[in-house]
Amino acid sequence: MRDAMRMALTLLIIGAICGGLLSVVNGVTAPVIQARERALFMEAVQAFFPDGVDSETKEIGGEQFYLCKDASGKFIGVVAKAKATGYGGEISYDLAVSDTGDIVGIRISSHGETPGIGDVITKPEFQDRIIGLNVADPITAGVDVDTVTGATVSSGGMIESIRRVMTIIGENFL
Amino acid sequence: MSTLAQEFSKGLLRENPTFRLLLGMCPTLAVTVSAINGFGMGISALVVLLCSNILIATLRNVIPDKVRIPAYILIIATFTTIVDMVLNAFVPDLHKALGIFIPLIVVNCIILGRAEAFARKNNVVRSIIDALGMGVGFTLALTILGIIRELFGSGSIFGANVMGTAFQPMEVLATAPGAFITLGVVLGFVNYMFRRLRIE
Repeated sequence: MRDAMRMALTLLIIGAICGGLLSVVNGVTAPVIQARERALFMEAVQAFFPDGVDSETKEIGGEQFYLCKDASGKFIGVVAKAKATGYGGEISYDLAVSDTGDIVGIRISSHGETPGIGDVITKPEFQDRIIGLNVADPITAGVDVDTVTGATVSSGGMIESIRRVMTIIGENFL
Repeated sequence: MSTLAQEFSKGLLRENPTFRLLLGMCPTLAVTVSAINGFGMGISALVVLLCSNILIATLRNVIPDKVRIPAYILIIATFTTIVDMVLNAFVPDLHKALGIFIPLIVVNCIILGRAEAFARKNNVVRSIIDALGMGVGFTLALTILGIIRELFGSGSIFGANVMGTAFQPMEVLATAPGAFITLGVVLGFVNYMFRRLRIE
Protein backbone atom coordinates (compact mmCIF):
# COMPACT_ATOMS: atom_id res chain seq x y z
CA MET A 1 0.00 0.00 0.00
CA ARG A 2 2.81 2.35 0.91
CA ASP A 3 4.46 1.54 -2.42
CA ALA A 4 1.34 2.45 -4.32
CA MET A 5 1.01 5.68 -2.36
CA ARG A 6 4.59 6.61 -3.14
CA MET A 7 4.12 5.89 -6.85
CA ALA A 8 0.89 7.85 -7.03
CA LEU A 9 2.34 10.77 -5.10
CA THR A 10 5.45 10.95 -7.29
CA LEU A 11 3.39 11.02 -10.47
CA LEU A 12 1.05 13.58 -8.95
CA ILE A 13 3.89 15.91 -8.04
CA ILE A 14 5.64 15.52 -11.37
CA GLY A 15 2.31 16.13 -13.09
CA ALA A 16 1.71 19.25 -11.06
CA ILE A 17 5.17 20.65 -11.80
CA CYS A 18 4.80 19.88 -15.51
CA GLY A 19 1.36 21.46 -15.58
CA GLY A 20 2.67 24.58 -13.89
CA LEU A 21 5.60 24.83 -16.30
CA LEU A 22 3.28 24.48 -19.28
CA SER A 23 0.92 27.19 -17.99
CA VAL A 24 3.78 29.62 -17.60
CA VAL A 25 5.15 29.02 -21.09
CA ASN A 26 1.66 29.13 -22.56
CA GLY A 27 1.04 32.46 -20.86
CA VAL A 28 4.07 33.87 -22.62
CA THR A 29 3.63 32.31 -26.05
CA ALA A 30 -0.14 32.23 -26.60
CA PRO A 31 -0.57 36.01 -26.97
CA VAL A 32 2.32 36.14 -29.44
CA ILE A 33 0.80 33.34 -31.51
CA GLN A 34 -2.65 34.89 -31.48
CA ALA A 35 -1.38 38.33 -32.43
CA ARG A 36 0.55 36.89 -35.35
CA GLU A 37 -2.42 34.87 -36.62
CA ARG A 38 -4.66 37.90 -36.36
CA ALA A 39 -2.11 40.01 -38.27
CA LEU A 40 -1.85 37.38 -41.00
CA PHE A 41 -5.58 37.19 -41.34
CA MET A 42 -6.09 40.96 -41.46
CA GLU A 43 -3.38 41.12 -44.12
CA ALA A 44 -5.28 38.51 -46.13
CA VAL A 45 -8.59 40.33 -45.66
CA GLN A 46 -7.03 43.53 -46.92
CA ALA A 47 -5.53 41.69 -49.87
CA PHE A 48 -9.07 40.87 -50.96
CA PHE A 49 -10.77 44.06 -49.80
CA PRO A 50 -8.24 46.93 -49.74
CA ASP A 51 -10.92 49.34 -48.50
CA GLY A 52 -11.84 47.10 -45.62
CA VAL A 53 -11.19 48.78 -42.31
CA ASP A 54 -13.45 46.95 -40.00
CA SER A 55 -14.75 43.46 -39.68
CA GLU A 56 -17.16 41.59 -37.54
CA THR A 57 -16.69 37.86 -36.98
CA LYS A 58 -19.48 35.35 -37.08
CA GLU A 59 -18.96 31.67 -36.49
CA ILE A 60 -21.18 29.15 -38.21
CA GLY A 61 -20.60 25.41 -37.98
CA GLY A 62 -17.06 25.81 -36.68
CA GLU A 63 -15.95 28.09 -39.51
CA GLN A 64 -15.32 31.80 -39.16
CA PHE A 65 -16.83 34.45 -41.41
CA TYR A 66 -15.33 37.93 -41.37
CA LEU A 67 -17.83 40.52 -42.51
CA CYS A 68 -15.83 43.36 -44.00
CA LYS A 69 -16.96 46.96 -43.93
CA ASP A 70 -15.36 50.03 -45.44
CA ALA A 71 -14.68 53.33 -43.71
CA SER A 72 -18.30 54.46 -43.97
CA GLY A 73 -19.58 51.27 -42.40
CA LYS A 74 -20.95 49.88 -45.62
CA PHE A 75 -20.78 46.12 -46.00
CA ILE A 76 -18.37 45.29 -48.81
CA GLY A 77 -17.95 41.56 -48.56
CA VAL A 78 -17.18 38.54 -46.47
CA VAL A 79 -14.02 36.47 -46.05
CA ALA A 80 -14.67 32.92 -44.93
CA LYS A 81 -12.06 30.81 -43.18
CA ALA A 82 -13.23 27.43 -44.33
CA LYS A 83 -12.14 23.83 -44.54
CA ALA A 84 -12.30 21.26 -47.29
CA THR A 85 -11.42 17.60 -47.46
CA GLY A 86 -8.78 16.85 -50.03
CA TYR A 87 -6.71 13.83 -51.00
CA GLY A 88 -4.18 14.32 -48.23
CA GLY A 89 -6.52 15.42 -45.46
CA GLU A 90 -7.90 18.75 -44.42
CA ILE A 91 -7.41 21.87 -46.52
CA SER A 92 -7.75 25.26 -44.83
CA TYR A 93 -8.54 28.16 -47.10
CA ASP A 94 -9.87 31.71 -47.18
CA LEU A 95 -12.67 32.57 -49.60
CA ALA A 96 -13.50 36.20 -50.34
CA VAL A 97 -16.98 36.99 -51.59
CA SER A 98 -18.15 40.47 -52.55
CA ASP A 99 -21.42 42.01 -51.48
CA THR A 100 -22.93 41.00 -54.83
CA GLY A 101 -22.15 37.34 -54.20
CA ASP A 102 -19.18 37.04 -56.55
CA ILE A 103 -16.09 35.15 -55.48
CA VAL A 104 -13.29 37.72 -55.67
CA GLY A 105 -10.46 35.73 -54.17
CA ILE A 106 -9.32 32.45 -52.74
CA ARG A 107 -6.23 31.62 -50.73
CA ILE A 108 -5.15 28.21 -49.47
CA SER A 109 -3.57 28.56 -46.03
CA SER A 110 -2.71 24.93 -45.35
CA HIS A 111 -3.08 21.61 -47.10
CA GLY A 112 -1.68 18.11 -47.27
CA GLU A 113 -2.00 17.58 -51.01
CA THR A 114 0.68 15.90 -53.08
CA PRO A 115 3.31 18.35 -54.34
CA GLY A 116 3.15 18.66 -58.11
CA ILE A 117 -0.24 16.99 -58.32
CA GLY A 118 -2.89 17.92 -55.77
CA ASP A 119 -1.28 21.22 -54.89
CA VAL A 120 -2.66 22.58 -58.16
CA ILE A 121 -5.39 23.94 -55.90
CA THR A 122 -2.94 26.65 -54.88
CA LYS A 123 -2.25 27.58 -58.49
CA PRO A 124 -4.10 29.80 -60.98
CA GLU A 125 -4.91 26.70 -63.04
CA PHE A 126 -7.51 25.81 -60.43
CA GLN A 127 -8.13 29.11 -58.72
CA ASP A 128 -9.04 30.90 -61.97
CA ARG A 129 -11.93 28.48 -62.31
CA ILE A 130 -13.29 29.55 -58.95
CA ILE A 131 -12.86 33.31 -59.08
CA GLY A 132 -15.86 34.99 -60.65
CA LEU A 133 -18.40 32.34 -59.72
CA ASN A 134 -21.51 33.71 -58.09
CA VAL A 135 -23.59 32.49 -55.18
CA ALA A 136 -26.43 31.91 -57.61
CA ASP A 137 -24.32 29.52 -59.75
CA PRO A 138 -24.54 25.75 -59.21
CA ILE A 139 -20.79 25.55 -58.39
CA THR A 140 -20.87 21.82 -59.04
CA ALA A 141 -18.16 19.70 -60.65
CA GLY A 142 -19.08 18.82 -64.20
CA VAL A 143 -21.85 21.43 -64.38
CA ASP A 144 -20.34 24.90 -64.34
CA VAL A 145 -16.84 24.19 -63.07
CA ASP A 146 -14.50 21.30 -63.90
CA THR A 147 -12.16 19.41 -61.64
CA VAL A 148 -8.49 19.39 -62.61
CA THR A 149 -7.43 16.31 -64.53
CA GLY A 150 -5.16 14.13 -62.39
CA ALA A 151 -6.22 15.95 -59.23
CA THR A 152 -9.90 15.07 -59.09
CA VAL A 153 -10.08 14.43 -55.37
CA SER A 154 -8.17 17.58 -54.43
CA SER A 155 -10.03 19.93 -56.76
CA GLY A 156 -13.37 18.14 -56.29
CA GLY A 157 -13.10 18.42 -52.54
CA MET A 158 -12.41 22.14 -52.87
CA ILE A 159 -15.38 22.66 -55.18
CA GLU A 160 -17.72 20.81 -52.82
CA SER A 161 -16.54 22.84 -49.88
CA ILE A 162 -16.84 26.12 -51.79
CA ARG A 163 -20.39 25.19 -52.77
CA ARG A 164 -21.21 24.60 -49.11
CA VAL A 165 -19.58 27.83 -47.93
CA MET A 166 -21.29 29.87 -50.66
CA THR A 167 -24.65 28.50 -49.57
CA ILE A 168 -23.98 29.57 -46.00
CA ILE A 169 -22.86 33.01 -47.15
CA GLY A 170 -25.90 33.37 -49.40
CA GLU A 171 -28.30 32.45 -46.63
CA ASN A 172 -26.72 34.50 -43.87
CA PHE A 173 -24.88 37.52 -45.16
CA LEU A 174 -26.07 38.63 -48.56
CA MET B 1 34.26 5.33 -16.08
CA SER B 2 34.87 7.25 -19.27
CA THR B 3 35.84 10.89 -19.27
CA LEU B 4 33.40 13.69 -19.98
CA ALA B 5 35.00 14.27 -23.34
CA GLN B 6 34.43 10.64 -24.26
CA GLU B 7 30.81 10.84 -23.12
CA PHE B 8 30.27 13.79 -25.44
CA SER B 9 32.10 12.43 -28.45
CA LYS B 10 30.42 9.02 -28.41
CA GLY B 11 27.15 10.66 -29.46
CA LEU B 12 28.86 12.29 -32.41
CA LEU B 13 30.42 9.29 -34.07
CA ARG B 14 30.83 5.90 -32.35
CA GLU B 15 27.28 5.86 -30.99
CA ASN B 16 25.66 8.36 -33.34
CA PRO B 17 21.93 7.96 -32.75
CA THR B 18 21.03 8.02 -36.42
CA PHE B 19 23.85 6.10 -38.11
CA ARG B 20 24.93 3.72 -35.35
CA LEU B 21 22.04 3.30 -32.93
CA LEU B 22 19.41 3.74 -35.67
CA LEU B 23 17.05 5.61 -33.36
CA GLY B 24 14.58 8.32 -34.32
CA MET B 25 14.26 7.09 -37.90
CA CYS B 26 10.75 8.43 -38.50
CA PRO B 27 11.51 12.14 -38.10
CA THR B 28 14.87 11.58 -39.79
CA LEU B 29 13.22 10.34 -42.97
CA ALA B 30 10.41 12.86 -42.89
CA VAL B 31 12.04 16.21 -42.19
CA THR B 32 15.37 15.92 -44.03
CA VAL B 33 13.81 17.21 -47.25
CA SER B 34 15.80 20.36 -46.73
CA ALA B 35 18.91 21.19 -44.75
CA ILE B 36 17.31 23.88 -42.61
CA ASN B 37 14.42 21.60 -41.63
CA GLY B 38 16.81 18.82 -40.69
CA PHE B 39 18.88 21.25 -38.66
CA GLY B 40 15.84 22.77 -36.98
CA MET B 41 14.45 19.39 -36.01
CA GLY B 42 17.86 18.33 -34.67
CA ILE B 43 18.11 21.41 -32.49
CA SER B 44 14.52 21.00 -31.23
CA ALA B 45 15.17 17.37 -30.30
CA LEU B 46 18.45 18.39 -28.67
CA VAL B 47 16.66 20.92 -26.45
CA VAL B 48 14.03 18.37 -25.38
CA LEU B 49 16.72 15.72 -24.82
CA LEU B 50 18.82 18.10 -22.73
CA CYS B 51 15.94 19.27 -20.54
CA SER B 52 14.54 15.78 -20.03
CA ASN B 53 17.96 14.28 -19.25
CA ILE B 54 18.60 17.00 -16.66
CA LEU B 55 15.24 16.55 -14.93
CA ILE B 56 15.29 12.76 -15.05
CA ALA B 57 18.86 12.59 -13.74
CA THR B 58 17.93 15.00 -10.95
CA LEU B 59 14.93 12.89 -9.96
CA ARG B 60 16.53 9.52 -10.59
CA ASN B 61 16.56 8.51 -6.92
CA VAL B 62 13.09 9.87 -6.29
CA ILE B 63 11.05 8.23 -9.04
CA PRO B 64 10.01 4.70 -8.03
CA ASP B 65 11.19 2.15 -10.56
CA LYS B 66 7.73 0.82 -11.35
CA VAL B 67 6.37 4.18 -12.51
CA ARG B 68 9.47 5.40 -14.24
CA ILE B 69 8.10 5.11 -17.78
CA PRO B 70 4.93 7.20 -17.13
CA ALA B 71 7.06 9.70 -15.25
CA TYR B 72 9.60 9.99 -18.09
CA ILE B 73 6.86 10.32 -20.72
CA LEU B 74 5.21 13.07 -18.65
CA ILE B 75 8.47 14.97 -18.45
CA ILE B 76 9.40 14.46 -22.12
CA ALA B 77 5.91 15.42 -23.29
CA THR B 78 6.03 18.61 -21.22
CA PHE B 79 9.32 19.75 -22.70
CA THR B 80 8.19 18.81 -26.20
CA THR B 81 5.05 20.91 -25.77
CA ILE B 82 7.15 23.79 -24.49
CA VAL B 83 9.43 23.59 -27.54
CA ASP B 84 6.32 23.42 -29.75
CA MET B 85 4.82 26.54 -28.18
CA VAL B 86 8.08 28.48 -28.30
CA LEU B 87 8.69 27.61 -31.96
CA ASN B 88 5.12 28.52 -32.87
CA ALA B 89 5.48 31.90 -31.17
CA PHE B 90 9.00 32.88 -32.22
CA VAL B 91 10.01 30.82 -35.28
CA PRO B 92 6.65 30.22 -37.00
CA ASP B 93 8.13 29.33 -40.40
CA LEU B 94 10.16 26.46 -38.96
CA HIS B 95 7.18 25.42 -36.86
CA LYS B 96 5.00 25.22 -39.96
CA ALA B 97 7.66 23.34 -41.93
CA LEU B 98 8.23 20.73 -39.22
CA GLY B 99 4.50 20.48 -38.56
CA ILE B 100 3.39 17.34 -36.82
CA PHE B 101 6.95 16.12 -36.27
CA ILE B 102 7.47 18.52 -33.39
CA PRO B 103 4.87 16.85 -31.15
CA LEU B 104 6.24 13.52 -32.38
CA ILE B 105 9.53 14.33 -30.63
CA VAL B 106 7.79 12.85 -27.57
CA VAL B 107 8.02 9.38 -29.10
CA ASN B 108 11.44 9.95 -30.63
CA CYS B 109 13.24 6.86 -29.39
CA ILE B 110 16.45 8.76 -28.79
CA ILE B 111 14.96 10.72 -25.92
CA LEU B 112 13.25 7.90 -24.05
CA GLY B 113 16.22 5.70 -24.98
CA ARG B 114 18.77 7.99 -23.32
CA ALA B 115 16.50 8.42 -20.31
CA GLU B 116 16.32 4.67 -19.81
CA ALA B 117 19.88 3.84 -20.73
CA PHE B 118 21.71 6.74 -19.21
CA ALA B 119 19.96 9.52 -17.32
CA ARG B 120 18.44 7.27 -14.70
CA LYS B 121 21.80 5.78 -13.79
CA ASN B 122 24.10 8.76 -14.02
CA ASN B 123 24.46 12.11 -12.33
CA VAL B 124 23.23 15.38 -13.77
CA VAL B 125 26.57 16.53 -15.19
CA ARG B 126 27.21 13.32 -17.13
CA SER B 127 23.59 13.30 -18.30
CA ILE B 128 23.98 16.83 -19.64
CA ILE B 129 27.11 15.83 -21.57
CA ASP B 130 25.40 12.70 -22.89
CA ALA B 131 22.40 14.71 -24.04
CA LEU B 132 24.61 17.28 -25.73
CA GLY B 133 26.63 14.59 -27.51
CA MET B 134 23.59 12.65 -28.68
CA GLY B 135 21.73 15.82 -29.60
CA VAL B 136 24.61 17.26 -31.61
CA GLY B 137 25.16 13.86 -33.26
CA PHE B 138 21.49 13.71 -34.23
CA THR B 139 21.56 17.29 -35.53
CA LEU B 140 24.69 16.59 -37.57
CA ALA B 141 23.13 13.46 -39.07
CA LEU B 142 19.90 15.23 -39.96
CA THR B 143 21.73 18.22 -41.41
CA ILE B 144 23.97 16.03 -43.57
CA LEU B 145 21.00 14.06 -44.87
CA GLY B 146 19.11 17.31 -45.39
CA ILE B 147 21.96 18.86 -47.37
CA ILE B 148 22.23 15.80 -49.65
CA ARG B 149 18.51 15.59 -50.29
CA GLU B 150 18.14 19.31 -50.80
CA LEU B 151 21.19 19.63 -53.04
CA PHE B 152 20.28 16.81 -55.41
CA GLY B 153 16.55 17.01 -54.97
CA SER B 154 16.08 20.77 -55.37
CA GLY B 155 19.45 22.19 -56.35
CA SER B 156 19.92 24.35 -53.29
CA ILE B 157 21.65 24.34 -49.92
CA PHE B 158 19.86 26.05 -47.02
CA GLY B 159 17.64 27.72 -49.56
CA ALA B 160 20.44 29.21 -51.66
CA ASN B 161 20.39 27.95 -55.23
CA VAL B 162 23.84 26.57 -56.03
CA MET B 163 23.30 24.30 -58.99
CA GLY B 164 22.08 26.83 -61.50
CA THR B 165 19.09 26.71 -63.77
CA ALA B 166 20.40 24.01 -66.10
CA PHE B 167 20.35 21.49 -63.27
CA GLN B 168 17.56 18.93 -63.40
CA PRO B 169 16.80 17.99 -59.82
CA MET B 170 16.15 14.37 -58.86
CA GLU B 171 12.72 15.01 -57.50
CA VAL B 172 12.43 11.53 -56.03
CA LEU B 173 14.80 12.68 -53.28
CA ALA B 174 12.13 15.03 -51.97
CA THR B 175 9.75 12.13 -51.40
CA ALA B 176 9.62 9.21 -48.97
CA PRO B 177 11.36 6.66 -51.21
CA GLY B 178 14.15 9.16 -51.72
CA ALA B 179 14.48 9.50 -47.96
CA PHE B 180 15.01 5.78 -47.55
CA ILE B 181 17.46 5.67 -50.44
CA THR B 182 19.54 8.55 -49.10
CA LEU B 183 19.58 7.16 -45.58
CA GLY B 184 20.53 3.71 -46.86
CA VAL B 185 23.39 5.00 -48.98
CA VAL B 186 24.81 7.20 -46.20
CA LEU B 187 24.41 4.38 -43.67
CA GLY B 188 26.24 2.00 -45.98
CA PHE B 189 29.01 4.54 -46.39
CA VAL B 190 29.30 5.03 -42.63
CA ASN B 191 29.44 1.28 -42.03
CA TYR B 192 32.12 0.91 -44.70
CA MET B 193 34.21 3.73 -43.24
CA PHE B 194 33.92 2.31 -39.73
CA ARG B 195 35.15 -1.06 -40.92
CA ARG B 196 37.94 0.47 -43.00
CA LEU B 197 39.19 2.66 -40.16
CA ARG B 198 38.41 -0.06 -37.64
CA ILE B 199 36.55 2.17 -35.19
CA GLU B 200 34.22 0.01 -33.17
